[in-house]
Amino acid sequence: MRIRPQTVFSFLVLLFFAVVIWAAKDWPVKAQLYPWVIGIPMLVLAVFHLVTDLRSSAGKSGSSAAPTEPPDSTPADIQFTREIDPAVARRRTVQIFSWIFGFLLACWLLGLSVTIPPFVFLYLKVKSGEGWTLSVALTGAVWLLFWGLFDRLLRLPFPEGQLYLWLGL
Amino acid sequence: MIESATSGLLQVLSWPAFGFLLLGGAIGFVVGILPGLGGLTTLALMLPFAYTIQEPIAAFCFLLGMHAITGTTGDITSILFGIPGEGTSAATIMDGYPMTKKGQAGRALGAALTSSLVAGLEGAIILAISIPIMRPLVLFFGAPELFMLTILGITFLATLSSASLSKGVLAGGIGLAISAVGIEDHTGTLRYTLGTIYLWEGLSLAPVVVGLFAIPEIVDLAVRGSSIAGSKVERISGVLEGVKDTFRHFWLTMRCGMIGVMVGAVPGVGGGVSQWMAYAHAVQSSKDKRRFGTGAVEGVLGPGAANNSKEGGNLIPTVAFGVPGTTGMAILLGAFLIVGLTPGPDMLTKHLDVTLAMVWILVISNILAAGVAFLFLSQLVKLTFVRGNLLIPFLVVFVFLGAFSANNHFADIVVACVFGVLGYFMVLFGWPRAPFVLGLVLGRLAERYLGISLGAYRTAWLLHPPVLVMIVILVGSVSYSVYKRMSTGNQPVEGRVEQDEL
Repeated sequence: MRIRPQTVFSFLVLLFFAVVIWAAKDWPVKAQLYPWVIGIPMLVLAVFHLVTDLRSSAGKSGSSAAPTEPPDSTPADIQFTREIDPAVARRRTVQIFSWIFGFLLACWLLGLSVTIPPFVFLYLKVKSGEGWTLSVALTGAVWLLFWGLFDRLLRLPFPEGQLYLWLGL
Repeated sequence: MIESATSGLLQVLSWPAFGFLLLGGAIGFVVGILPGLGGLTTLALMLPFAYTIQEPIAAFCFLLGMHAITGTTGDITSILFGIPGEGTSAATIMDGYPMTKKGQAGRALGAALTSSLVAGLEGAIILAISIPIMRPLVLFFGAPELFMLTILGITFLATLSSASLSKGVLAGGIGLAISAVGIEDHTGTLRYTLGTIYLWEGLSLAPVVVGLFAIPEIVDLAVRGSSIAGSKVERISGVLEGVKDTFRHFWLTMRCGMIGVMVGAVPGVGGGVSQWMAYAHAVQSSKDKRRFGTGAVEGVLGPGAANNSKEGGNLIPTVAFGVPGTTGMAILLGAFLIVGLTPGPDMLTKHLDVTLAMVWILVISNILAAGVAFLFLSQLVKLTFVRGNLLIPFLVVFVFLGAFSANNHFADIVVACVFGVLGYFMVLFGWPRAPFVLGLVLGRLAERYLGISLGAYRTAWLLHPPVLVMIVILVGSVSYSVYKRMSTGNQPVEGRVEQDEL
């Protein structure tokens, strides 16, 4: 039987509720009450859901035409595009998450104000392959909006980058 | 009453009060559109200006006008980019953004703005006539009833918004559990703080919602490699179609507007709740529930209506009893004190003209917001045809800034990214995000009400007649949902694609 990614996700949900209950075991009753009132029934439901999911996986490996979950009426939420080749979709997903988390890391190391212009410029020039004029113009527009609205007008206290603190600058 | 209403209107239209209304409206318009830049933050930042203005009606024109408009324009960003312009306008994404992806952004915006306008007026009218009637009703709801109301809200949404009942309920449970993060009020116990001071206050709603909803949309945009609307060309009549949709589903709009007023009038229940409840009602009352989440216009009309009408509801306990219904109203309560007014019975007698002027402010600002938005609608819709590669860096920067501006804390950006990853997997594996958000919004309240109920009545609160009625409704709705799923369990599913390839 092949374990599907959604089954792993269901298992993580089960693990989450187990941790919610376990972490509360030594707390005073008043602090413990709410996490347990929520956590215990949810843990039971998560076990039920995981078992259903595993049975559905087993059923699926036996018959490829069987639906994975009860058909119903309402889609759960918005749905991702399905017209792209899965391999391409997976590669692009990893790329965009890398850009987002790379940006996050750069913001932490260098500070938001320093990181925003190079991030926008690099994304436009390197990732999107835009021309110099458009890349520079859009980077300037983002910087102007950031500086004018968030920095000058709202005076948000953007923190210094961690790197400056380490270097004592 | 008529004399006070006329006096209130004339005072709102007089100079400089009307000028302040326009200024506040302009700020509210921009703030509402910018993702994550919260109306609450701006309201708090602008509150000190009430000292300068001093004249009560002019001060309310500025502050209340700004506050009312942020709700309306917050829906615009939700529909166009799938990023909630306001923390309270996330529910509009559920069907508004899929409509945009189908090339129907104009129709979705037309529907959202018109339903906002219609229900905003409804909320203002109900505010005007209901203050004396609502007082006993609001006071009738004690902690046990409010606790059951929160559980009922989450269960409704969980049963209605998911293909799998267990996924819906579990998603709500995750939200409820995450709301327990932080210092416990009674014992001071640090719960799930992971050894960091940042989590002592619990997780803020804004970074969680911005990450949960915006990042999966950005990923999808990057994967598709096209514009938000793809190659789908929308006819210019789309906007008008959205306006017509509001009147085609007029009673749905009115009912969702009423939900907004009722939920808004219950003190302590946040602004986002009314939108989700209205969405759940739109799904529940539709004959073809399969369309929801794929771009059903009713899924835009419901939240759009409740988002605006709740302001009228919020004002009822604030003005009549001095009990603010939401954080926004708590800030506005500060404005009452700054301009020398005391909320309470005086607002219904001695200062009735000021109370009715507030009704007029809601009416006029709603009309202005819808009018101005309609003027720029065709330009706004064009943004959805801009190539995704050009939009993505802007959207990522706004997600980061929006998350940061919630508390001016860098960790909020990390929270947005973490919940962005969670949101991505939830969408990928068909877990609904709506019950999760509602659980997070209502969790702290639910715990407080549960604590008060147990402290005051032990388990006897379970036998309160309104509580019993709500338990019956809850059990009935879950049983019906299970029965319906079992009875349709053997039918083939059209269009469902296995997700394990991704």
